[in-house]
Amino acid sequence: MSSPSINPVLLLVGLISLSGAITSIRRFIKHESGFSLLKLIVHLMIAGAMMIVAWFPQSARAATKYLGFGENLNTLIFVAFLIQFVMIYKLARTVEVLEGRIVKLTQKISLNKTQ
Amino acid sequence: MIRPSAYILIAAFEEATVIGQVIADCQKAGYDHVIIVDDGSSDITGDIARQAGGIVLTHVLNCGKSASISTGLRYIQSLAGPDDIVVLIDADGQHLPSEITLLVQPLLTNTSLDLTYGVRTLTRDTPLINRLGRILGDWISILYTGKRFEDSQCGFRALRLRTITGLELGIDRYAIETQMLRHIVEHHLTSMPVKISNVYTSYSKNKHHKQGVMQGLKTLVSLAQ
Repeated sequence: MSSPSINPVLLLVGLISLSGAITSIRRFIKHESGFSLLKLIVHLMIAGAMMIVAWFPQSARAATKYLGFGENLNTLIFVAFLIQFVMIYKLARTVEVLEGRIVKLTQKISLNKTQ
Repeated sequence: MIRPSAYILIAAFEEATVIGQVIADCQKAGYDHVIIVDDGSSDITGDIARQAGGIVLTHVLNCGKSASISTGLRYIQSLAGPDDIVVLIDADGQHLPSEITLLVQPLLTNTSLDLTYGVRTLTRDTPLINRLGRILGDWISILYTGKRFEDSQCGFRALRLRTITGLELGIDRYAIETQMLRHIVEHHLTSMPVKISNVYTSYSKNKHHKQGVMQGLKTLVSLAQ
């Protein structure tokens, strides 16, 4: 029985993900502006998922079976959609908050000018 | 009938064609304190309003009707007392300033009354889309407030300043009418419908920035939050 060969591309993908996760943790520890706990969690989830799939490819098969999909690709598409929806929601929310701040600022300027 | 004193508040966005006439009609009806919030118009709405004798507050950016009314109310709060009356009227001439007194008079005679709201009379001239919009608006209002208000989306209203204490107006462009009614219900305030005329001028029908279907849906989502 031959030992499983290590795919250099997958090894590299895993290392890049690991480096990304470490950078995110460092940014959070340094209290970098705008780098919230939620952002750290999202970064770690994405980097972690990439590392697991790159270094343990059989985990993708297990996840596919667990989710009830026939093919790994379907799982990937499903997860990608899910992530995109979350990102779109987050973006929309951010735009809404910004819009609210702009309105408040506009009102303040208007009232200060008139009074 | 005694012509009472009340503050008239108009939110205007690119209404240079009609705003001067609306202000003149308000003054003719006996209401000299006209406050206009120019909501980031790119035309000369603000200048015309000022020339017509109105007090003009200017939004440097277009923020929508709710935000404009909110700015105007905050300004009036700095001038007037809690029992003073504010009349909200649309800038496009679809409400008749000569009918302001119909809304104000009940508030003057009944001090426990907090708000009067206009109920537009449906005529053969009322476009179908407006009829349907009104039915839909009333249903949304029932869902949101738990009470039926006839013509809940009509912007022609008179209220005492105390009525809006604690009312945080959202940033959505057109949700103000429904938010106000919900505030009335939640705080057990008193309101009264008043029949008003329904004027559809060719100008108001052809306005390019009136509330569309997408904006209506956005308002609905905003109210649901």
